[in-house]
Amino acid sequence: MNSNPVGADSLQPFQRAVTQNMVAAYADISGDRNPIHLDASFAAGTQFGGIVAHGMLLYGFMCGAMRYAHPDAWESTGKMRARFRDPARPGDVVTVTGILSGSKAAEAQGDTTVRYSLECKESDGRVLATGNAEVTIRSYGSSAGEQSMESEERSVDE
Amino acid sequence: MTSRPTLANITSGFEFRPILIDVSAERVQEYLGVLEATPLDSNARWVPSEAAITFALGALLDQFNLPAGTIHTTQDVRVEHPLRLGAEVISTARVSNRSHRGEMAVILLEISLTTRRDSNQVAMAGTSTLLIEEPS
Repeated sequence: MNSNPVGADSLQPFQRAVTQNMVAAYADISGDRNPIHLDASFAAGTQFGGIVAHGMLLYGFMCGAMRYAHPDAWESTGKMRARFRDPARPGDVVTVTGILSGSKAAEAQGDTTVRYSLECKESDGRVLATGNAEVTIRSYGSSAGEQSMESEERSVDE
Repeated sequence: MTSRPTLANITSGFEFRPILIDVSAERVQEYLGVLEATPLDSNARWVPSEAAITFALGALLDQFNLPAGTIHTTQDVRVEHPLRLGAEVISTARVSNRSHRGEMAVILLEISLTTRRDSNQVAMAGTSTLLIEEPS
């Protein structure tokens, strides 16, 4: 079930506070333990002047906004292109917003592909990342959609 | 001290060794928990693409050293076919291009995810752009 049906013109804002604990936990789960994310004395000597969050943390926030809006469609058809413009730092409060930027009929009859333009900003107005995302929303009972799902089952079965 | 290559010395066309990555529901839940994102519900079947690519990038770091000043500037991911939670997922990666911008190298890293069962069908694909200082 999609919580953002075709016709909704924006995503629900996805806001999170970035903390050093979050950055450290992200380093653990991602395996990226670059000292610029974890070592304050090292990070102080870099061009950023202090610890910065992983770009992929912001990417995860942006995808989180899409997934919240289109949980099934995001996981089965989602596409995201993101550009990281300014790093987030511990203490930042980050908000992802998204505006519907277009829609079109998908290849499968009755299905619709919707596109969003996303922005990830800090509360002081800094733009941290921007992106474009799309998902294909399947119509119930679409024969093409059913065939596609069967194909997915074959490709991922263990 | 390690004998792993550093990304600063890897050239265009280099292909990394395929890696089996863990996309268990437990690991995905942990990832979503770090982001304070909506958790998987009890009926969830598929791996969110952002989790799969994050795990694949992390697994690659076992194969090379990432210079400490590396900057991740862009990330693309597309789902071709959804990946089932707990599937045996194989990540393959290559440096598809290496160019220069001032004193920095611009590296395009392409990742493809397939399942062990169907290695000919790409389930997800992603491209990362990384900026690293050129070795002196």
